[in-house]
Amino acid sequence: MKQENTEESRRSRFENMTRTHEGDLFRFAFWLCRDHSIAQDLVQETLLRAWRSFDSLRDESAARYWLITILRRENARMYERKRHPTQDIDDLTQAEQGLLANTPDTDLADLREAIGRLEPDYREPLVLQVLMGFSTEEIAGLMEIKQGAVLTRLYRARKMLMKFFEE
Amino acid sequence: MNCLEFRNQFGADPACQDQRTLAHRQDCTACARFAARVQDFDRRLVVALRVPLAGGQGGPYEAQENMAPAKGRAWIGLAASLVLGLGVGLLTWWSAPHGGIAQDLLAHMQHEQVSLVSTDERVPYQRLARVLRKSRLAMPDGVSEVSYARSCIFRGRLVPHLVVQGESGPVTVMILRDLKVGGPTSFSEQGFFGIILPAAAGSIAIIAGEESDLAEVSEPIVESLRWDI
Repeated sequence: MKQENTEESRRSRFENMTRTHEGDLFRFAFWLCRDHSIAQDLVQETLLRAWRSFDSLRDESAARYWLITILRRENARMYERKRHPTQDIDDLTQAEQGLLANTPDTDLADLREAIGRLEPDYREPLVLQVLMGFSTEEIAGLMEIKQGAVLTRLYRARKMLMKFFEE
Repeated sequence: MNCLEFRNQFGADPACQDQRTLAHRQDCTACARFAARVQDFDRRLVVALRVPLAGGQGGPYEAQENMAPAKGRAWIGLAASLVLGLGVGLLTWWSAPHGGIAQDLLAHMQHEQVSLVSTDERVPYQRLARVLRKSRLAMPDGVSEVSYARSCIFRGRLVPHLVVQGESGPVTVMILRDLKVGGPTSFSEQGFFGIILPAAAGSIAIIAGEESDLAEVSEPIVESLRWDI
């Protein structure tokens, strides 16, 4: 009985945690792979792995960082396992209309397209900072690069987007 | 710190609280303008990065995020439920009873955190006019101090979402074409005060942190908004 309660409590804590973060996990996954269905698979795999190693999460306030770490690893694994055919961004905006282009706000669609055009090395730290709210130090830890490199990439990413968008 | 250093630092990390960076912003008008431009751009970035969760169905992502959790779900069902949740689009329930409208408005407003910020910045009139025009609306320049103007999907419809800086803080205004209310409907929930006012071709929802801001903001908008341009 006690064991069942413990299991129920564990499940409940996990569900609460994932419910808080799943939206942004999906968005981060989407900007990582720019594909709606792959992003869904990625989040699903991430949550399965997270559940299996949930006991290793000592501090649940660090769940966001922990989940993103798992998701990034899972993305690398998926990429190794199955090389997805690359898509041209112009095709992508047609294929992913619901996410990128099919918003009645044309400014928003343009900006999303411009973000999609950024190289992954620039896009990822920007998404981690602006969408996920991580500090540059945390981004450096997640991406395993120096903080200075993170700052450079963030500066350049913003500069490119602002130039594109304000022209 | 010189201007170049400031721009490199601020352009990389607009939330930076470094004392030298803050001091330079205070002392240099040009860099203060640059900082305001970056912050404005970042607000747009937040909105752009928040792609809807349900692809191709036009549903706002908050609908999925607010779904009530299923109790006692098996762990394997968790991942499946995520896919299901992501896959289920928003039903168009524009004409649903008004009981939930307050909660929906608050959920939408709180999801767009950038709209809850007190600021001295104003959106250019051209932008405001463009947002209104997309919903076949118009309002003369100078009616209100609008600090935020975006077209949002709300209950499956395109809705102008404006923020006006009131006496006590930001006031959200959402113009709900085709959503008829019999008379003014007020609500008070989650620390916010709101009112939904009937208007020519729909209604106008106004939400503020202080009740006194509602009338101050609503009157000029109700009087000057043109519904069919």
